[in-house]
Amino acid sequence: MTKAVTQKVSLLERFICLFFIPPKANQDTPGLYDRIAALFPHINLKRPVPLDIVRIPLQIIWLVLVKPTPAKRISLRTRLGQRVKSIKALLPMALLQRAGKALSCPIKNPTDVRKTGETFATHAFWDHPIVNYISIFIGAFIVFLSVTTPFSLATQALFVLLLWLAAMWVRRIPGHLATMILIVFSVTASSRYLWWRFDSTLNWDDMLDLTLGFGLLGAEVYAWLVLLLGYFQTAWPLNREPSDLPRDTREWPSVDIYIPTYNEPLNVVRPTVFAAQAIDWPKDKINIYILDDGCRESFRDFAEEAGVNYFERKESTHAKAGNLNLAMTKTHGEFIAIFDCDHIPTRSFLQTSMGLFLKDEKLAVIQTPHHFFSPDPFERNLGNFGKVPNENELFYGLVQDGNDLWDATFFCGSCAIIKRDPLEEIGGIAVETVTEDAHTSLRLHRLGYRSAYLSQPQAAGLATESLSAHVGQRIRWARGMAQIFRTDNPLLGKGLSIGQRLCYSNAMMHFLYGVPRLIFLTAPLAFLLLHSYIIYASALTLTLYVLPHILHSSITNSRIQGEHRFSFWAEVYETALAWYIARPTTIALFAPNKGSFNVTAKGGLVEDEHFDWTISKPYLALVFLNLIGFAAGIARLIFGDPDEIQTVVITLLWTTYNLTMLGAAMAVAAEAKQVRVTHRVSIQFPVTLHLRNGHCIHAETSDYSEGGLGIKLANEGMLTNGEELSISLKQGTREFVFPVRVSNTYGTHVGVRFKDLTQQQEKDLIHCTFARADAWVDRNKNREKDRPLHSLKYVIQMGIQGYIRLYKHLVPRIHFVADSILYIRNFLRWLLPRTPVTSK
Amino acid sequence: MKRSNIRYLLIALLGACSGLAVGATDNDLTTLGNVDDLPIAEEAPDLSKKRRISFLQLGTRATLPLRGSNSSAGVGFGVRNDELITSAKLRINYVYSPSVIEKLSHIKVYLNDEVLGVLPLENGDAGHKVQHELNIDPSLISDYNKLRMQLIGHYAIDQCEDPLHTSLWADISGKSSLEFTVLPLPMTNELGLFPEPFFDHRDPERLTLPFVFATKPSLKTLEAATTISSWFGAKASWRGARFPAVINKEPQQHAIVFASNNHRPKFLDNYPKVNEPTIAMISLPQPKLLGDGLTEIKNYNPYIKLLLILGRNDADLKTAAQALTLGQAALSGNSVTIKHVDLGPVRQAYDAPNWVHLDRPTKFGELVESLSELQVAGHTPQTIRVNLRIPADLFTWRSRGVAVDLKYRYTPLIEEDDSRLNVNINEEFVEAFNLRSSGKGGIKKRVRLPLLDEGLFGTGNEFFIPAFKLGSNNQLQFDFSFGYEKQELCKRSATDNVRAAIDADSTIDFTGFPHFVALPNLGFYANSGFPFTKQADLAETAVVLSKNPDAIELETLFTLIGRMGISTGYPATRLELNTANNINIKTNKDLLIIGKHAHDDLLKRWDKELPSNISRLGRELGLPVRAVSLLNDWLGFETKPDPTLGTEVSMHSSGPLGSLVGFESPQAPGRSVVSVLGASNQDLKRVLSALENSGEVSQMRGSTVVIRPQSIESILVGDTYTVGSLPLKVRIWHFLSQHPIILALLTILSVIIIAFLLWRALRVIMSQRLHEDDR
Repeated sequence: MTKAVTQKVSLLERFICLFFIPPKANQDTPGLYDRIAALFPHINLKRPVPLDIVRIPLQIIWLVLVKPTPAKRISLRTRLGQRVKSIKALLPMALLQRAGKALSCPIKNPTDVRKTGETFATHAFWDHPIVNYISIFIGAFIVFLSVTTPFSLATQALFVLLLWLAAMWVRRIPGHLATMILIVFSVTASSRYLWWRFDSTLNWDDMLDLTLGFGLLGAEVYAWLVLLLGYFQTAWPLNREPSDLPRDTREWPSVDIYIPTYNEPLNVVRPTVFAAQAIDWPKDKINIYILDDGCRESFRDFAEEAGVNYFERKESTHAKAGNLNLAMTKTHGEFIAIFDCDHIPTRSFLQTSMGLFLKDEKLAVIQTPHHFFSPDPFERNLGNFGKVPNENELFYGLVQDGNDLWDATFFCGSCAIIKRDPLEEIGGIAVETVTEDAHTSLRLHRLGYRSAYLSQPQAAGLATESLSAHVGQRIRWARGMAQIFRTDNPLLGKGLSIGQRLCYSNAMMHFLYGVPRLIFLTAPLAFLLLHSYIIYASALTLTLYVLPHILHSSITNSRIQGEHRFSFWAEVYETALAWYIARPTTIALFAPNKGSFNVTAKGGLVEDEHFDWTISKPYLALVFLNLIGFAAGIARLIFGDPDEIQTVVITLLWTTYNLTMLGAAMAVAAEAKQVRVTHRVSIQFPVTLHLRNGHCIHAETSDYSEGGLGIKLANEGMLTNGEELSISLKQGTREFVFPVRVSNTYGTHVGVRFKDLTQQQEKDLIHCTFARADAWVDRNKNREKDRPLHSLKYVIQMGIQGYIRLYKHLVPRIHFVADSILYIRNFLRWLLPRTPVTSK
Repeated sequence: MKRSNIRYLLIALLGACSGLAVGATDNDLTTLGNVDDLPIAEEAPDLSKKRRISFLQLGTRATLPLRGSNSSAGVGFGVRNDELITSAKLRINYVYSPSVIEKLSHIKVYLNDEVLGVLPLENGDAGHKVQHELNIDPSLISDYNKLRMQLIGHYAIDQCEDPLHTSLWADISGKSSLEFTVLPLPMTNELGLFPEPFFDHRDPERLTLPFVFATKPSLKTLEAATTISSWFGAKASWRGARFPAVINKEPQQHAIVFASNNHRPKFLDNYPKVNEPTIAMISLPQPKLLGDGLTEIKNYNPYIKLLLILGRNDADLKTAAQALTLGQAALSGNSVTIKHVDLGPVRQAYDAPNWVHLDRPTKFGELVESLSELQVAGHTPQTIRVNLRIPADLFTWRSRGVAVDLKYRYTPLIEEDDSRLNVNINEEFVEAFNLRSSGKGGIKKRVRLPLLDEGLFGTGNEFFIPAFKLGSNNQLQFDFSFGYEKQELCKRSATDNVRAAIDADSTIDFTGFPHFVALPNLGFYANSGFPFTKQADLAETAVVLSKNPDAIELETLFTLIGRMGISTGYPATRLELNTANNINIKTNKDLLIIGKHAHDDLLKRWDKELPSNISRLGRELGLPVRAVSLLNDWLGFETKPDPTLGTEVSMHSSGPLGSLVGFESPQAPGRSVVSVLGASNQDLKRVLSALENSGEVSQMRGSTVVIRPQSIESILVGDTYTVGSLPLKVRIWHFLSQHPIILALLTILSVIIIAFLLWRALRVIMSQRLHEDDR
């Protein structure tokens, strides 16, 4: 308690003090007031409300009757938490984890183990070809045996337990080598599961069982393939470093920067153009082109004003690809950098990347990540922006980097540089499919050109703002990838290395997850509703086989992908998109030329909080089916065959998991409001505030956006709302001044808005903010690491949230009923006594 | 002569009147004696015999239950062709409900659908065992007879009754019996009747058929005899068969005589020599001793028939025997000669006619003697039983079970109730199906008969018990049970109108199992003669006899080979016999050693100490150190039962002791030896009787079976060996599946090695990628 607070003692406090406490003598020791306040943590004694008349006696009664020793008592929540923990401790995974920990105690210093391992692995002994071949042959043979050997229940349990303990032990060791071991363990466990599924879980005696069983098995084979290809792709991210450019800028090549646009509003394109102008490159060697497919006057005027080139196209055949191809015929730069109109490049973009081109003659494409500074619908509607990696991050953080090892990084349409000559050699950007980008790089690779990936974001943009838009974008990608897979299959054809073939295949096959995911979401219903044994095995056996498959793959994936994708989130993303992707990919596989191109809409607003009923229809249907299945399962549990109880329980657990995932998908469909026109990017750099009265205040930013800045001051009350001042930002050695107005203050935080910026000032502002070289460096600094169980808990919370939101939106007419139920619940909670705050 | 002729005429007339199809017509009578061409003994003694057969012997269970009014139970019996029943009596033991009303209730007894009599249900005796005798008019008895007991029961007079009321019951005891006075009939010497009178399938009793030899029969002669014994074994089937050996004596009943031109039993001395292999049937000659030591055959006994297997030499005997058993001799008249016999190609393994098919699913119709066995009637009908003989060495590890495509039909139900079909195998429950009114058109279901799951906690590694638990003789049981609608009392409800049937087209599928099994397992031998019966013609079996086998050893030989015939249903046409001192014993055959001396001699030659050597005087018996330790096994360090002998328990009892010993042939790996030993004649007989007793057979297993007069003990000691072959991968999987720890450790090691290699490879790829420009 600071002095300032204790001075403002309320009447009530005084009143209570009269009864209990002698006047305070010393302020250093905790005062009696504090002690009392600690006993009433939920009541603001300084500002009592009328109903405190009820709450205070309640609390006193509770304290007297229920909580004689407040310090030692634990809140209900904590107790529940402990209960949950003790239950959790009984769960196989936790048990195994614990066992693994216990076993790994002997690892005193994991780094030493790593070193020992690597020393052993690098020993010249392995170089001998005979040793090499024999060990790979014997190793593969034994692994084959361990995949195929049939076991009884007990032997299987013992076998998988040993492998699991070994994996848990290895998991503690840092480094690539341990990752490799985990991968091989995981592949073995999953293959064993799949072998078993084929070998002994199909009921050949019953046609229904067999048909449905094969359906599920097909989905599992797909999942297994994608798992293996995923390991292949991400086993070793290359983590390429930028290469230096020659000192003499005359040797630097010329670059055309294309900013294609079709229907985006001008305010989205402006920052991009300004940032492109700010890119550090010799002015005579850089040309910026706005490629407008929409033929809009305002764009032409803006281009003229800003001093960049403007091309327009009357016919919009082949959409973006056609647009780029036409521009290529009109420009002559040696390299072409392409930015979607909402991707704001940093000034260092060319300097970091171009060096690689100069080093490697055959390099044709350099791709950099797409970074989004606005939340995508998942992040926005689930409220986890910045806390949980978004859907994109796995791809740009890991997959593309992993692809780079196999020279299979592909062009993603934006934030990339392509060498003109090779591009012309393949006839420009590919126009046959709706994902022209991946197809283009596939063709370059087929000709023996190489690609590279720089994993540091050098540009940032806006994410799709609604689930429907997001779904639309994914449908396009999925369809395009399926089209390429069908028309120009990377597994066939000339010119690719095996690594490239596999990486491309996985990139394409990944998008075929729609149907398998739907199968997983409905598979338990086959048993619950149709009483069909799609997995013809006892529940216990199934558990003993499927658990290692799931556990090994999840710890391995968590280790490989943990930074870029939290455990269980892939399921959420896939569940939300599965239905929409299933149809177009299936159609594209059979009729690759059907379907039309749709442009990803960006920069819009979601004005009302609403539930997207249209897009959530499939989820609702699936939820409905699963709920029926769940009810049938419960009925079967009560009235059904006692022999089947285990099976029913396992199937119910599966259904619950599915319902959770569907809940999370529905939570996304409940669109939160999106009213901010400009998005804040949190960053700290020093600024100077010039007040009208001549004072200067040095402060630090907390965030910025196109429209304003958030500033953190040293003290409260230094600025008032509406106050006008100017603010100076440093950019390198230069300093820029912008007029602003204070729009809000909250304690030491002050928000200011830019006021009447000239175009030059706007340009300068972009220089100082979005185009900063270090703009996106620390983007994930404050994020927690992946913890699988924690992540699962979070996903489950999201799932429950989905049902709460569905409930809220489902009954709009009796909204007040829903609200009042929630209100009453909250009110009662508010009334309830609390655990005193224990002071240390 | 005249007098006796008249007598036979009378008998024949009697037979004809009573409808006996004995074939003894006037014509036969006139030809009678043609062959022998000698008068029949004048003073014929009274040959009539008494015979008593209980229902149990006729194949019923311990009681025949009658439940509800009108319910009935039956038992069938046959009459031998060479016997005439002169009087018969039915002695029924039964117990009945005290609730039935004396005046209205009784049990009707039918014989061949004619009422034989009525069993009273007097109140005074209700609830107690009652015996009642009924005389049977012999004229009602035919070849095959069906005795049927029907309960007519009432518990109320004025009210409407429930005909299926539980108080309406009676139990007929299985100890009820039929008593016959039979008179043997003289038979013509007509081979067309063969195998009668030597084997009559109407006779439910065990077949006992003496084989008659001259002194010191040669091995070839004995081989001919074994062929015939196995053939008769196959015919006798469930009745069992014994073949006593008679050396140079006249038999006292129908018998088979083996005689070559220069080596004949004495009483056949006067029989004309033959020029070809010949089969003939004669009445038993009754030689008269003449003064100078020669005999003259004056009379023939027409009640005792001999089947003569004749030839110039021993090889001819064998030919004749083979022709007889393979049905290649055109049997008619009193004598046939054989020009040539074609043994055909060596039979394929496992193709015994009695065994289930391994190359295709077996139809149920092939497994039953008559299709009527697959049909039943009544609300709680009798069990439908389908016997299965399965090769003992099917390797069923990891099999999902044996698929049975079951088709069944039943009288449609009026209402859905608790009517069911229960499927059992060897009295163990497999699966049940509800009978529904929709099933009237027949239902097809697929059942998987469960197999033994051996594994960590399974029965262990002692044996790989093939399919099912009892070994090679199995029975599928189908129990239909029909609920019946309880309507209002006075409403009529038909009672006994339900029928059910298993379709003969139903199949059981044993295809696809590899043959692999660990031996020795005398259970296999005792049950089905495995491994010898693998070849139905015993082409890969050699029997080793003592140098001079005596009659009891020969009986053992014929009976054991006869048992194999029971198992296979095929004559042992290619069996080889040898004596223990013969150097030329083929070692690439499975050996069956019979007799006390053969065993010793052979072992002496092989210089082999067997773990369980009972033949010697010391009678030492090796016991294993301990049973397999489960823990050790679990960890995968030791999987075999400890083969070393712990203690040599000397059993100095001098009491009777027979034994079976099984071990791997010391000279040919993978070949089996089974020794059938007995210290004395009684011991060997005891062994034979034990093998005839299904209860005792089920106790036989392991490598040594010790058969004492009162008890049987089975032990597994010594090394085990495997026969048959498994695909290599199955062999490896089978091994590893029992050694999870070994596999886990190997896997961890391999995973790490593979990871090393991948890591090295990826590192190289990485550095190449990062220095692409240098390339």
